[in-house]
Amino acid sequence: MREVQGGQRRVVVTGLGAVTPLGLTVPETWKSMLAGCSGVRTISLFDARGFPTRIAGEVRGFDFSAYEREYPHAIRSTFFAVQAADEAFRDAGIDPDRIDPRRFGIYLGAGDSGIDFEPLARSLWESPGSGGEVVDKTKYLQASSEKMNGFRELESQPFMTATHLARRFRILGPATTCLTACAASSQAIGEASEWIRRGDADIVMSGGSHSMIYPLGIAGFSLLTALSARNDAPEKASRPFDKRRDGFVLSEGAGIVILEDLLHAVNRRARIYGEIAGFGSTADAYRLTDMDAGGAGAGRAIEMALRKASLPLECVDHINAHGTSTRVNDSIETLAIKRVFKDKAFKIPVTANKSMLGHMIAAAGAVELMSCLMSIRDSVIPPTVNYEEPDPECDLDYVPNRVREVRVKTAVSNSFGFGGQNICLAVRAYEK
Amino acid sequence: MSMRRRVVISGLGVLSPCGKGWQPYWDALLRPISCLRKISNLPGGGLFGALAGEVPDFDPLEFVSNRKSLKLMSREIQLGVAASALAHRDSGLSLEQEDRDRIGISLGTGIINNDLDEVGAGILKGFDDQGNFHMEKFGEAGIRALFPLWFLKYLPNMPACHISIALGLRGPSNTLTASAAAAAHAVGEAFRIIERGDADCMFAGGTDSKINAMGISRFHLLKLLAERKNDLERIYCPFDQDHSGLLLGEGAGLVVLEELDHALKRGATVYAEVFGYGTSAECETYTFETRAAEGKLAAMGAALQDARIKPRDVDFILANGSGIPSEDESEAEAIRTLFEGHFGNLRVTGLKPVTGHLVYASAGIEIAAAALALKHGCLPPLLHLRKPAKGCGLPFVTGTPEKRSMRYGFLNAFGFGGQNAVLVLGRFDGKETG
Repeated sequence: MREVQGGQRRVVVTGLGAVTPLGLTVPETWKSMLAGCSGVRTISLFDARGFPTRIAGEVRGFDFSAYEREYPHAIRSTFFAVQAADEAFRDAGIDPDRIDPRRFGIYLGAGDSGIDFEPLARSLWESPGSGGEVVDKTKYLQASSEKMNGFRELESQPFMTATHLARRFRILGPATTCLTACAASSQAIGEASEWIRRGDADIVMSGGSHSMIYPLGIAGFSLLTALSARNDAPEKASRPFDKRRDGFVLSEGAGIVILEDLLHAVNRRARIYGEIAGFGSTADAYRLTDMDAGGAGAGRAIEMALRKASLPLECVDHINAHGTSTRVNDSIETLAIKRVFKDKAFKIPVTANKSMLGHMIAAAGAVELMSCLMSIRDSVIPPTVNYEEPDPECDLDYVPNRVREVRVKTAVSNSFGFGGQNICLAVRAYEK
Repeated sequence: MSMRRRVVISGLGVLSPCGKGWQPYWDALLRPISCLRKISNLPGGGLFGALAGEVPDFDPLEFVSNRKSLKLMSREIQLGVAASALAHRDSGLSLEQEDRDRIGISLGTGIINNDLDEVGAGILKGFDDQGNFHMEKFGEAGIRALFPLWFLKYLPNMPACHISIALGLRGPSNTLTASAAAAAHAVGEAFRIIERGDADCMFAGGTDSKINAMGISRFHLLKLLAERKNDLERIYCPFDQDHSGLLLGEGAGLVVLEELDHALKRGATVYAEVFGYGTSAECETYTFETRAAEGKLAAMGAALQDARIKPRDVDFILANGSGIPSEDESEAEAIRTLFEGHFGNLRVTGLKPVTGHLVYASAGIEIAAAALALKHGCLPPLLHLRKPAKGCGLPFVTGTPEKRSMRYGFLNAFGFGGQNAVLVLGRFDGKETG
């Protein structure tokens, strides 16, 4: 039998970076979150006038020209990731010359980024089919080979962001990308912390970036009746746990964290935001389009995270909800929390960052983890905004509309992916 | 210090251009024959990429009990669900009697290409009679012309979700992407999940089909498809002086990974043991010219270290061997660097000319071949190799299979943009000899 390398290694967060609809850095985003601002507006990225949903949380004021020369064909979310990674790496105070590239890894969450819409549409138009076929495939092959750009096709592959960052920071340790939809960046952070715990790396750049604000993205989610159609009041559209919620609001951005082996961080006298204490991953195995109505899968993920962290239920003093603002998620998540915490559930402040940020899909979990870490640092929990009318099915303390000053030592962050994938991260204040 | 839990392969599910199940795949590898043909379901598909490997006579209804869910399945999902059913059957696991909170899924996928007729029905509604596209018109009329659940067929995490639902797997679920290394990442991460005790069993592998208009168009744009330089039969010839790119195949491969005691207790057939896993990324330029072998070497070195063996312990390498000249060269360079001075025992082979390149799924079927090679003491040859290209000289198995007793084997999986994953498998001789 062989032994585990490294034994009981602990994982801490030493750097944060974010590009969100509420700001282009972590401090900007955090300040807006504490002020209860919404990042949701009318869509400007394309003409959405004819679409059932015309609102989204876009990143505003981002200077693409700063990176375009370096990454001439990259997609929007890769640029967000690069800037957030620069911020996180700087924030961690790592001297690149003093780390071993083979002990430095990368694990990102990502997702579909869409195809260049105009050349696709044009190629289809030039390839009319006959008989039962809408599109003539032979003509399409010819047309697309003239109109589409191979570099863009490569860049739209979701693994390219991690590949660029690996090169940018000279990362030669373990590297991968997961694609678990709304849970992706939380899953990436959870799995990456397992790499460090096992001894496969000392530092891992993790988190995620994503933008699905493109015509087929909005179309796809609209058809699934998942999006809010509150087009006349964008800032009021994302309203997790409120009785009048009518769907989530798509947004975009990046959240990057620097995870580090505790000893490695202490030895270089790094500032520590908090410890990734546990990580739970489960599947509902229920139905493709619905969450398990009893919240069993989500509840098991929370329990697994706490069990792995060796944390008793009693010490959890904050929950960062997945809280999407869809009818089903918010009521089932409430059930799952009550299932796990029983009577104590009503005493734990639960917040839904998506009320302000919208749903950053594959990037959501990383930014929500940051919110937990900042709450631990600043002893303040950002509000769930737009909470106006209580829903009998959602009867927890959602920190409605105003920040709450309260000491946070242990928090859990939930992320549930479409198709029944549940991730929970347990974080706590760093103590020796 | 706690003990590492040991992980074995106890079930193989292969759906490949050679047929259904691992047997026809293994047979084709040993003969060896190419299962690539002219593309049947795509008129004009031969425009780019002369041949391709399609899964013959595939009927999803043979594997999908819920007919309604079939409407939500792209071909990639169908193939993945089918391969998971084959792996389940092969493993002999009685899922009803297992604690399925302790069984999970880890799958390698990526972008799933849209069916052009389906997405075209919507997008074309955005054009006026003069051929001008109006986004507003698409929003008003196009969206309604799409199948309402169209999106669900193409979200990349859906194959894993369908499998977890079909088999009732409530344990950890992950979907990884890393270009052509995706399935190796998925198997490696699943290995870690069992090792650390988060699950006792994992279904792991990958699924893919690029044999559709959008898939072939992409590979053509990426300039990755083999050009015809010699006779059509041997157009796909990795490491050979005539190598010029790849030909596409489709399929899915999943294995059942299982904690050793769990497998032994139920009397499972153990094909091989998983000993090591290493990954890395590299991205030198935009043209796939990963000239430096640095990243591949890093992943191979990490896997070797993880397995706690020395280069001289390795009996074979199942090379990535994509057939893309720059990739073949850098892989050969990485192998030479790591195994310098230990070539006496080492044999190198590659399997892609038999099936075509299954991209996200390639390592999912190749891990089955690696396990079978260890179990049967038999290495399939590298088909279509006549004369190695400059810089690609390695101790290849050619012509006929080589029978020999082997202890450890490498499975290399390298993605087109520099995503690398390497698995180390070993022969299983019983619990006491690990």
